[in-house]
Amino acid sequence: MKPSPPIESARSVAQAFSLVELLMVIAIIGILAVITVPAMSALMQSSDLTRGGQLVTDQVNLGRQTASAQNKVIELRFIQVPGRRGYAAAQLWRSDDNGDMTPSRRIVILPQSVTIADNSLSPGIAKLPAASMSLNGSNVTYRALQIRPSGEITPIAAMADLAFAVVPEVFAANSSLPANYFLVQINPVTGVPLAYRP
Amino acid sequence: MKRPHDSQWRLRALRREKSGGSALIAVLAIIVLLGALVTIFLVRTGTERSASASYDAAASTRLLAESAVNLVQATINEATTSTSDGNTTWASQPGAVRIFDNTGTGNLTKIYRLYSGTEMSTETGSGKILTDDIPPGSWASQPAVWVDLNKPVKISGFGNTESLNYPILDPRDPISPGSVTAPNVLKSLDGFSINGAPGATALQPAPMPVRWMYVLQDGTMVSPTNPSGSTVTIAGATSKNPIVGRVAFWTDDETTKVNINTAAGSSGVWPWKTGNTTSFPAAWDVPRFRIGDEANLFGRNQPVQGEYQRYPGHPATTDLSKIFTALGVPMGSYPSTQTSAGVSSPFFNILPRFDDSNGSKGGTVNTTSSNKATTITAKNDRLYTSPGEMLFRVDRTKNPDNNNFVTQQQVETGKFLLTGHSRAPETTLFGTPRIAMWPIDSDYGSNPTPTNNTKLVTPFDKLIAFCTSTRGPNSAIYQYYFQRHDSTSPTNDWSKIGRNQELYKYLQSLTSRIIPGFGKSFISKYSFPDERDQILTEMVDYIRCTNLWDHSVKDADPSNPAARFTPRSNNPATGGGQVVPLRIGSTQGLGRMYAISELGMLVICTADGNGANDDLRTQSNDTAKNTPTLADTPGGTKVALNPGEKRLQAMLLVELTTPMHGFDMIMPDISINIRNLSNFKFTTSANATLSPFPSTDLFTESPGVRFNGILQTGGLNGFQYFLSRFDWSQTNQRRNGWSNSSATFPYRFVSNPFTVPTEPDGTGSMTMGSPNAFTLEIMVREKGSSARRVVQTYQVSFPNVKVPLPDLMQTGVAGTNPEDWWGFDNRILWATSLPASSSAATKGVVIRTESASIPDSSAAATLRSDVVRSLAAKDGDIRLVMAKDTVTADGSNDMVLTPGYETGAKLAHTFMQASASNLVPGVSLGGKLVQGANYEPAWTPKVPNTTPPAADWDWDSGLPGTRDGAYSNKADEGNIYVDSSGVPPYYNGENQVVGGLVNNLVSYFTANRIIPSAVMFGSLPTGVKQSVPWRTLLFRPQANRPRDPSGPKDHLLLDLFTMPVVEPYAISEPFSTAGKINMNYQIVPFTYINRSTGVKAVLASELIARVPKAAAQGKPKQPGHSYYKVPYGNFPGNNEGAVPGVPSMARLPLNLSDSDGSLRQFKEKFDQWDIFRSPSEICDIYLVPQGYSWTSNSAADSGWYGDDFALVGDNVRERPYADIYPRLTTKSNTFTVHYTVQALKNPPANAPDKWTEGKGQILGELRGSVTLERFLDPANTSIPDYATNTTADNLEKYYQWRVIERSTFSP
Repeated sequence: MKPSPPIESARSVAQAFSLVELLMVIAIIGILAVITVPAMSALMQSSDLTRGGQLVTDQVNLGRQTASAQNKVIELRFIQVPGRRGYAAAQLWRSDDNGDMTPSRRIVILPQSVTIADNSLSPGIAKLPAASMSLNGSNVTYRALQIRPSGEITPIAAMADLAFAVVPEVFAANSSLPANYFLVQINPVTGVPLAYRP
Repeated sequence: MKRPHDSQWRLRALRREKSGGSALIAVLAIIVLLGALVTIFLVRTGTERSASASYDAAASTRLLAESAVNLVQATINEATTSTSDGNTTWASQPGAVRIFDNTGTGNLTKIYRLYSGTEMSTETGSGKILTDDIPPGSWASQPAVWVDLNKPVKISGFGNTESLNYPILDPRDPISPGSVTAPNVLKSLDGFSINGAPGATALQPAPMPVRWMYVLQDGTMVSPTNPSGSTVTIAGATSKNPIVGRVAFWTDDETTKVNINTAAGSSGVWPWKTGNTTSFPAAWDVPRFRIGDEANLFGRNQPVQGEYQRYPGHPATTDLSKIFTALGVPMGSYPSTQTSAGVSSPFFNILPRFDDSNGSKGGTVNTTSSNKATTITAKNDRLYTSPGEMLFRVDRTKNPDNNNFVTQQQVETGKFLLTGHSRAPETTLFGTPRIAMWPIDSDYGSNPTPTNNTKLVTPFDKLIAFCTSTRGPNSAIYQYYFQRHDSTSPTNDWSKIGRNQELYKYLQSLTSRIIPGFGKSFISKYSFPDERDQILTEMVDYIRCTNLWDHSVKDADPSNPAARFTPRSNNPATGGGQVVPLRIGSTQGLGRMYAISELGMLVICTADGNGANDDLRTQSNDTAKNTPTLADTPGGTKVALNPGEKRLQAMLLVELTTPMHGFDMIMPDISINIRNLSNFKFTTSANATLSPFPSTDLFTESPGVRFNGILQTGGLNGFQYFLSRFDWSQTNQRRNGWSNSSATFPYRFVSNPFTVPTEPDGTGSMTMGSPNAFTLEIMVREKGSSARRVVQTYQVSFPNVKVPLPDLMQTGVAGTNPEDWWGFDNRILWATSLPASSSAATKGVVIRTESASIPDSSAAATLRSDVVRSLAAKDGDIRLVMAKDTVTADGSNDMVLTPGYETGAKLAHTFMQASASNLVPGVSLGGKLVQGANYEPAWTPKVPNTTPPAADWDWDSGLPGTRDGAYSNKADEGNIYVDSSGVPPYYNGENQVVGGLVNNLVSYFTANRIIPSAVMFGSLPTGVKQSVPWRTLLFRPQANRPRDPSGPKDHLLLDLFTMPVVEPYAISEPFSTAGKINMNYQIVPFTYINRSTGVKAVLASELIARVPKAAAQGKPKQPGHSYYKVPYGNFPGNNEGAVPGVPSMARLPLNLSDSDGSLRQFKEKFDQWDIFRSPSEICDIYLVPQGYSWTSNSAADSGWYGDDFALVGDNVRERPYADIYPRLTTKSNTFTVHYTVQALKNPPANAPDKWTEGKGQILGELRGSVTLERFLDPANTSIPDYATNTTADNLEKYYQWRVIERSTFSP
């Protein structure tokens, strides 16, 4: 015995949507999208910010741990990535037995939409000396701080100056803090990073 | 067949697909979001995982470091506890501990390495095996085997300045450190140098490579083998037990560094030497010679209380200033410009507890001119815990001030040379406790607890007692100090104090044991019966006689002071400063007591019957005139003499000497009782035997206070002393015991007059003597009573001798009449007058000749004179007489004939005056203590001229106004008296009690200034029982001593005693003292690093005396004066010290070179890979004065015992050793372990038992240091009483450990 088709088959006429329905659905989808996309982007941005900030904090912690364990001075470099604003990458370097600097870990790049501001928002960047290194064949600028085995951070001594703001890249040029940011401040004596979120 | 609803299905399916599609999109979006979340999470965990792996590596490096430190601690523990039975001993040096046994002369048995190497300990007989551990020049090419512990780290600092940091030894000169790539090594510090460091580079001039020890997972430590390229084999490593890390360490001995808390040093630029710009060490000793520098440095400019940097033997005399100068530490212009009163020099501002704001300021300021010192209040800044703390003061400002301050580089370089913690054990070579050099009153000693409030002990006494006691069960306290209470009894301080007996037995057992590290025992050396016990008794009695009158006891009423050990010396015959020698069995100490150095019979002519024509002889025979001796009894009927007769009378002269010569003064209470003096008989030429002395007991009371020429410091006091009873009213109350029966202080040793036949011209002879002995007893009043006891007995038998008859004096002297001398009345009454001027006899002469001058024995032969025959101490060594309970004075035993006895001369004796510039008529001169010395006659030492001095005679130098002689190096208790003409203290012979100023002496004195160390025993005789004169304990190097018995060197006795340092803080704790410097400065395995700065700092503060033989002669323009001695009451000018044509007399600092100076023997010993086993071995080191270059032991011996130093006595030669010995050690309690450890991971591709540098992974590294200290808890009640239990395991087992400091090198 054949199963009885569902009730819809009672209609048994070509069930196409009418234009109005489609337009209604599209309009509703459009309205929903208009409502949610900004929120989504804010969510995405905030999760990127969290990731980026955590990345910086983790690099600092890892640098401290490595310096203490290996009894060597570790350099934490904030690197300007070509094509992005601000300083969007970080890498830990150490000095080898000859006194030359070699990378200690792989380079870590912040998520696409966030970066470390390089203006007054990040006093740390301004106060750190700049230098250049080669990244994938091209010369890029970086700023470096040293993490000593004792935990001490040089060359900046004042805690107020040792702060880095991870901000959405679109706001990287602003001189005031955006609505959402991830501020990493490092204690220059102990090397412990502190995070501030609004 | 096409179904009509097929398309519906399709449409439905499509619709479903469409809706399924949007679900897919939603799902995909969620998956993307989830993916992002997971990515974040994983990125985080990746970092977290790395971080925790790092943390794990760091934790394992910390554990590895702990295990390295524990390994070192266990090694030291094993080394030291292996000596528990006392048959072996240990000594430490930076990097190693060595064990020595007691066979042969002390053989090395084992070396324990305190650095990582192939083995931690090796049994061996020679230190040469340590050469294997010196790193090869190519160590840098084997990084899997060798690691440089001192590898510097170059870092960028603030503002891009680069700096170089060294963990252990920063060799840079702080004044010009050089650059980071080319550091400049410190070269200006004497004693620090790096020579031939293997593999040194410009960046690393001070490599300290040691071998790695690889650690496996189960904890085994393995030394790498088979190095080939950068691969080594680690035996025993498997994949189940892989390599987890490697450690490298080296242990430094903190006692080789100078302790910045206890060291200071004192130097000054002597202002009294015009134009002088050189600074000299300001050591302090009692002045002994006629040297202007000495009168100023030792006499006038004495250290005051609180000036520890000049207290002999105190750790504060160790000289920090040379190290500070080389480092550039701001010291102002110290020592060239002394600051004004009340202002400290910048150098002392850095030191936490020492101060030079007042006081003598390096011996340049007069502190005694007003007899009142400005004392120095001890600072109480915090003690530095490490040299790094010198950077800042307590209030965290710069040290010492904001303009000139200690810098970081100075502290970095200084950390290898300086320390804040260095303790050394105060235990004997046997590992047992040492006995204190300081006596404690038994009123406290019987109950040494805080509840005991007796006034007889001061806080210092209690501290010293605490430092030398341990606790036992049931609140028992085991005391290792001698107690005393009664200075008037020879036995009470023995029989009434049980602990003293136990300690004596303890000393006996220690001197009967074979000495570990050296072999043999003292009982085998001093094997003559009772000789060893005699020496021990002398030592115990020396301790008992220290601190006779403690000036620091606070009296409620200074005019009525509380009792001390000896009575107060303010009235005649109090017994002040006098101690009856202690008698233990058949042995006796020296006490602080007078003994008889010469006994003489003086026979005078009181009337002569051979006169004519009313000449003087006839007048003497006139019964109408007052010649009482013409009667047989005082006041009896006078009978005139016939021609051919002379009337004679005899008197026994007693010359008293105490070998304990020095301050505090002595106000003796000694009376003499003679029994059977009637045994002294005269046989005339007519063969009649007369016995003119009474047969009853003859008792003469004690003499009184000082008078002209008689000193209150002991030493030799002429025979006039006992003839006197002088009091403060300046009158002599002694009277002739024969003629004046109502006298209160009669001198009873006077015979009745007797008549002898003569030739017609008055000459003649007789025989006199006492072959049957008479007994002379020295008696002392018992403490607190007027009953007297005998303390020494003399059995005197003058051998019969034929002598000429004495002549009647026919002239007077100094305005007296001839008849004044016809009897003993005036001679006794005037005995306190000046005996002579420089060349003429005066009223006090007692023994007369018919000469205006003072002829000696040979010159007197042709004159009219009295007759004297005497017995004196054998060979002149009164110490042997003093140490006897009964003295046999029979002409050949303890007291022997003086020169000339049997020559038939009238005068034959060696009586001398206390005031050395005067002579006694008829004295036999020519006695010498130094062969070939041409003594000014009045300064002739009291030695018979018939006994030539041997080169190994041990004689002492006395105070400046006292001749050389047989003294016992009494501990000096102070003199600050300056007389009205400005003669400095010690040069005026006066005591310090003047006008109530006695209490000011406390402002200058402290226990450590009185007794620096046990080397003060150095003048105690060692030949009392065997009757070997002029041989005392030897605490200095001397090659030719044929009379010394063979056996362990005397200096090993020093090891049994200690003088705790209790000021300004408890530098001495029970069983350890801080600040001692280890003599073993050789660093193993880094022998190319020379760090002798510690030993040089100890030696730099001493002065050596130079007194050439030619200085014995008289000064042509000053009769009675010699060049090297000056009579009391005169003072040497600032320019004195020069004898024409010979090197000037001087006190010279030391030559510290290790090629031709005082450190030469140190270097020779280390070159032979041997080390010092006991700090007393410093007494085998020749101390070379500046300006002398002695490149071998024989050159040093012939130099130091040659003409330039001929007149320096035993005590003065040994004095620098007394100051140096307590500041040295050969054992350490404080060690610093420097380590470099790495946590490793062998990649799986490598074989598990091989390690390849570069391929293997270094997970983590830790460098740092830990300072460990071993200590004894004095409250540990399981420590046995070693005095009663002589076989117990020694103290080594009771040591515990503590960690003083941990630091990591993380620049």
